Order: sequence, then C-alpha cells, then structure tokens
Amino acid sequence: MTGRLSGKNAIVTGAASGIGRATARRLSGDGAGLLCVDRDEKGLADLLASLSGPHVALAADLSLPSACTTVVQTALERWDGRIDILVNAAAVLIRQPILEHSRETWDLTIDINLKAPFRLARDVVASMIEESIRGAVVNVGSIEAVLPIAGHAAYTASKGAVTMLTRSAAFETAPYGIRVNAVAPGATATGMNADLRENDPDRWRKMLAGTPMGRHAQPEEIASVIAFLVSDEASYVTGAVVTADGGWTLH
Amino acid sequence: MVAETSSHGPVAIVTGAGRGIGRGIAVTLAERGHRLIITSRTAGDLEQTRDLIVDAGSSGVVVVADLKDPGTPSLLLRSALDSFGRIDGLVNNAALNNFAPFWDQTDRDLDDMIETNLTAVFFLCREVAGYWVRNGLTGAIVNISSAEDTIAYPDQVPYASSKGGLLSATKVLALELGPFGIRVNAVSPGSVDTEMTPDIYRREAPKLIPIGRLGEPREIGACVSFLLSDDASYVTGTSIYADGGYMLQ
Repeated sequence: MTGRLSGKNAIVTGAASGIGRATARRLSGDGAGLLCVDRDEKGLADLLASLSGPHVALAADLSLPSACTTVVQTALERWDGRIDILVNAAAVLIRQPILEHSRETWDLTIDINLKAPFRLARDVVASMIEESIRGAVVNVGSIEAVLPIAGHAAYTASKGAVTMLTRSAAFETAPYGIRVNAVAPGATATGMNADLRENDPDRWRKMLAGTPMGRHAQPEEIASVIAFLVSDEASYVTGAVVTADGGWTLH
Repeated sequence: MVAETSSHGPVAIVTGAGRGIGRGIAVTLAERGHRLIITSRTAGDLEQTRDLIVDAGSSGVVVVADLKDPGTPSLLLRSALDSFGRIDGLVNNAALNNFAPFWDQTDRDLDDMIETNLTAVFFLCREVAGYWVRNGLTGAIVNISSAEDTIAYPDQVPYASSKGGLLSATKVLALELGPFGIRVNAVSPGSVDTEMTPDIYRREAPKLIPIGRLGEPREIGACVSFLLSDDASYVTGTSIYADGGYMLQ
C-alpha cells in the first residue's frame, strides 16, 4: 500500500529512535513528507540520511513549551500552513520506586509524555481547523495505562492521561473531520528498555513468557498500526486505542 | 493482473457476506487481493457480492449455508481448501439483531441471536483454528462485534449480550491461539449505513455521532483488512472501535 500517504505532511516526534523512528521510516515509505523531531540531533541526522524524500529534522527539547511552539511553527512555514498528520511518539521512562520518585522525574515525565502531546495536538488541530484539513493525530500510549509496572509511576500516570487526552481531543475535533487515536504498545524493543534487555535478560524473558505471542514487538510492528490509524483506511476510527501487545493484557 | 491476483492472494472466509457490512468487507478484501469464500443463507445476495468481488479483480466462491447447521463449519473450511488449496483468514460477520424491550423478547429471539452471533462463531473458529494448529499453519481471525459489546443501548438485551460474549470469546481465543502464531481480533462498529439501517439513524446521525455521519461498510472492511494483514502482526486479543467517536459520549 505504498503511496497511501502521498502528498500528506506529517510531524513525528521522538523520531530519532524506537517507535518514533520506525514510524518516520514507515510514513516516509507510504509517501508522506516529514518533520522529524527529537532531542537527539545526531539520531535525526542518521534517520534523514536513511530516508529519501523532502523531509526535514528539528532538534527540540519537548519538555519546553516554547519548543512545542517552534515545532508547529516550523511545520506551518515549511508546508505553507498544511499539516495533515501528527504522531506524538516522544516519551521518557525513568524507573524509580514510587517512594523515591523525585519531583524532577515526575515533572520531566509529565512534561514530555503528556504536556508536549497536548500542546502539539492543540496547535496542530487549530491549524487543521483553520485550513479545513481533515487530519489525523496519533498518540503513542501504552498498555501501562491499564496495567501498572513497578517503578513506573510517573510513566504509567502519563500514559493513562494520554489515553484520555486522546479521547477528549477526538470528541472535540470529530465535528471538524479530524481524527485522534492512540496505539497502546506492549513490550517493544526500543532504547527505552535496551538496558533491561541487555542487563537483566531473565526478567525480560519472564515478562514475555506471560505474553500469548511469546515475544516482544519490533518498533516496525507498532509503526504499522500508526500508519493504519493516520491513513484513510481508518476513516471511521476516532477516539480509539488500538492495543498492540501480543496479547499481554489479556490476563 | 486479474489472473495473478486470483491465483496467489490470501484466502479468507467471510460470513454474512450477502449484504451490508459483510458485503463491504468482502469487496474491500477482494480489492486488496484476497480470494474469498462468501457465505450466507441467501444465494441471490451472495451472487451479487461475488460479482462485485470479480469486478474488483479477485475470485469468490459462494456457499449457501445456515451457520446454525452443525455441518456448516466443515463445509466452509472444505470449500476454501477445495477451491483455493489454503485458508489464511476468517471473518465472522454474520449477525442478527432486533429491537424490543427485554420483557417482550421471546425465547426464540434470544436463541437465534446467541446461536448466530456467538455460538456459530465459536464453532467456526474451532474448525478453522483447529485446522491451522493441527497442520502447523498460521492465520488470523477477525470477529465483527459492535460498540454494544461495551456500551448499553435500549431494547438490545439479546444482541448486546451476544456481542459482549463475542468480545470475551475473542480475548480467550487470542490468548489460547497466540502461542501458535494465530491472531484473533475484533472490529466493533458503531452505526453503519446498510440496507438494514433504520432511516431514523440516517436522519439523526449528525446529532448522535461526533464525526457527524454513519460509517460505510467499506470503512469496516478497511479495519478488517488491516487486522488480517501483517501490519497488525503484534495486534491480538483487541478490538478496533470504528464508531465515528460514538463511544466518546
């Protein structure tokens, strides 16, 4: 189905690694023009070097409100006001037992995982309404919105919030033909858990043993869900959370 | 091109394919290269669907059968294997619905809906998934549920019960079949525009549905196509709610 996003302009955050990177690669393959956003300037440069197409990169720290403004402004200038797609994939996970969760951990997690998707979606949706664009927003949630993991208090809270951010934004923007959905990945091999997979492979294996499919996802398998949700194939899907967890949360 | 599509595409069974959402699913899958076994109780409807499948460049085999007949699951599987030599997907779409206060629902109403919407799905899944497991093959199942598997709507006790059961069955099937590489998911549509849709739904849709319109059968077909495809390779035991935002209210 190559080309189903031809002519569409898409912002992808967290594009330098993991699910964001796989999503950028997939959307580029489907024909979209991209604004790739991440803190990791080198990762962005590597990504862009691996893609063909009129893509741009923007290094930004999304914990700063001003950076979110810059992202949307950059996209609007680059694409003459036309943003069709926003994928909020940027996120941080800081593992700390709940009693040791610091104020810094909490704030940084909420700023990047929740407030940045809100700010970006708000400004992007405003431009879509202005330009009468029937666009699509996809937030990367997590199965941790429904299933907590010890040591992930801020992350889990942020992803639970992203779920309801998705649903409320979908409700309010549906009359404009704008769709807002989320994907809730299960265990996915990304930089977020590389240390766990390398340093504590037994724990990782044990975690996966309870997953019916018996394996973790590759980031590309989450990117393909996102590619579906942003495409016209999902034209009647809004406010949905598509769980992609190999069955992990079934019991 | 047509011949190539017809001899190499994946093969799927679609139940209730003679009308409405089922026909939309069949045609959407045909457009994406699936070869199809289409079934319902009405030959004339199925033949029209088959013509649309052929127009889309694929091939479809009509099997007139009643899902309440215990011989139907093996008949459908055999049709797929005899006609195409393989089976890759199963789409359980056939369903009955009625609207009546629950104290006026008859034993017959309840039996018909539970039998068609839930029990028949169980037996057909058992037949097809059993074939995959016993032969070391994999495949994907998509059950067409309903937004009513989660939200309540008046005068719908038997239907909603059947769909709630279907969603639970989908989850357990996914759990049991996951280790064999078989994925089982659902699509839960909101109100879709079919020949069965009451006119009042069409009139009221802009007020009742956030996206402002009923869904089209093809939009459900596109979700099914995604779930059957490798794009959904890590998706199992879940449902995609394709409801235009209806459940957000």
